[in-house]
Amino acid sequence: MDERELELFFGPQHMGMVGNFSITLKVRGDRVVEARANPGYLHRGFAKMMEYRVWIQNFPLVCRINVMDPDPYELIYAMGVEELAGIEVPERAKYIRTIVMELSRLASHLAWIWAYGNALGFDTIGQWSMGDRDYIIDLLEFLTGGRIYHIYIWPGGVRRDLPDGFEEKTLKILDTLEGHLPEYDDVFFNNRLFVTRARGVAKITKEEAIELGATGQVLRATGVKMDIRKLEPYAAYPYLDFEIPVREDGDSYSRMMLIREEMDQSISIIRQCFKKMPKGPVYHRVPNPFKWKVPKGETYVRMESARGELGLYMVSTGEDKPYRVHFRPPSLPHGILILEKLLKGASIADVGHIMMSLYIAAPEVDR
Amino acid sequence: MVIKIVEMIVSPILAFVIGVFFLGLSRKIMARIHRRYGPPITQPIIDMIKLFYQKSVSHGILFDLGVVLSLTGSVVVILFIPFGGMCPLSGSGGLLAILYLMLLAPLGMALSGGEGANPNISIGISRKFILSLGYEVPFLFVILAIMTHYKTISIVEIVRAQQGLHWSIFSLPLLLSAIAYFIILPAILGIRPFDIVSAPQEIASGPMVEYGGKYLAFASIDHALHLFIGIALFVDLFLGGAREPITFFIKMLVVFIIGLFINAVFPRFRIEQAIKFLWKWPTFFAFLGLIVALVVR
Repeated sequence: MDERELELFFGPQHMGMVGNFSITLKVRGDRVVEARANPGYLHRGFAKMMEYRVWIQNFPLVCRINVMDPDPYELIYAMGVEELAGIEVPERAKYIRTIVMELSRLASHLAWIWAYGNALGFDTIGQWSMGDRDYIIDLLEFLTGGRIYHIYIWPGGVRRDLPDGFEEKTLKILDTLEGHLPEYDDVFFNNRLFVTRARGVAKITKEEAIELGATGQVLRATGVKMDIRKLEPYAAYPYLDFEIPVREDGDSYSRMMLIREEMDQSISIIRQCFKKMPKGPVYHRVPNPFKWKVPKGETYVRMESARGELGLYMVSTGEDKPYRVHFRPPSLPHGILILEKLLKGASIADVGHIMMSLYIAAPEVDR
Repeated sequence: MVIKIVEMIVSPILAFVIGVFFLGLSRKIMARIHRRYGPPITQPIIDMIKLFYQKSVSHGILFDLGVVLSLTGSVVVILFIPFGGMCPLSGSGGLLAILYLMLLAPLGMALSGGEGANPNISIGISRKFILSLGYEVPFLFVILAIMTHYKTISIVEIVRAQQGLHWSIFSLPLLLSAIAYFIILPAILGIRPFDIVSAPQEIASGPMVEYGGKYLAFASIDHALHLFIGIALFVDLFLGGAREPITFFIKMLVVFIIGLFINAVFPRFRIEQAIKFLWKWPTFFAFLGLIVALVVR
């Protein structure tokens, strides 16, 4: 191959790119010499917009921060408001919130198996997982009325109780999904070509991952057992029994395998929730939302979204609108710092799946 | 003489129809494997007609000539391939001519790619030639083994020698060659796990990236013809060809569908992994087949 340096634009219009994101690559031969991540195609200015809307009006905004995994944003915003206002959430609502969280995690992981398989040029697994994701989206539509954005979780609980037949339908869909997962293993996760392509690619050490602010699968793939669901349990997670999958290698393969293993855990969590869920109210009444003045104060709440640690810093000056709302999305360090670091020296063929293995959601990076 | 001329006109058209049918069928079968319905089998034809109506952007005279050269190469190769008792250029060259002429298509692609001046094209072209290097070595061994076994370079003679279920795949020396050829067949056809050249998710379809309108239509036609050549060669060399087109077509269909299943369950190799693989197993089998063919002779 020649030694000319070429500039390659990987996105925003590129068949290997998922989401409105772009990477500018400098390549020599088949190797990437330098990579620059360009977010900025999806800037909607949510942080500022939220300062001009009353507390409750921000729910349709927060869920749009991450298209693939919108529910954690609703929950964390509700958690922030509850902490400022000192509202206690009913037990049943906590379980329902956990179910919604895990369904959202499952949908997000399934979508990402598609994205990753697509980056390896393997569309069979992608079409299967996207098909299965649709069942979960149907389920969320049945529960909330919305397919992608649900706006279901509110300060003080959830909007309404589970509809009749929701439990049976969910368990049935989980059974279907569990029946399909071994097929995924046969075709993709145990596929020798996937292992050869992904193992040892884009390795990151434990120290580097911590230093660059990695969370979620990126950090857990390096052997750190970090999950906010265990560290600072919220919703119904303290009452549930589940494992945190951890791997040691820190490469693209282990990150993807973690996503696969977490799906088993999510299914088990949802089943436990249905078993342990108490009867009772799902909503703690809050004052008239349009006149509601949340007490003065500031707070930082955090939780585990599908991609890693999601944080929210929120300041109230005692007005009917928030003074400052700032999110710490997990994809920000993954999508800029770690991506640029890991792409250096990679093969062009690997650019796509390195990016997908970091589980980067472009709308999260930009907001 | 008149029959020859008619054959010369008919066989490329027939090859095109079969190639396009295979393209449509592959989309349908892949869709069923993906658990979806898929487009109608006529979809590639519909696409091509649409593309011919679209405005096309040229990047210079070589860009145009490259496409033409590529297509010409494929059409000429088809004239040398026996297809169910029909072989317009049976008297001249045979296998050696096919070997040479099969290089025309990638050369044409490289020619027009150079004019396109898109970095993705250069990467795609360099991948194409590296990959050719990978599969041409076992391919050459396979061809040599066959020529040694049948003591002829004429592909028509080879087909004739296999008549009546004396297929080369059933004879021990050529079974190894058949395995080798079958393994490199996806690389020759450019399908997974060897679709490194086009690799939409990596280099945005590589050499095809600047093609639009008529150019893309010609590229699709070339692709269809290429599909025909790769599979027809396998059927002629190992599955005994056929006396009438229908049998030949059924044999091609079987090979194609098996290849499609392989295509459905594998991701894509990285280029160096592909070369490593191609120079390991197929080359080993092909070389062993050649030695056995030499000894048994």
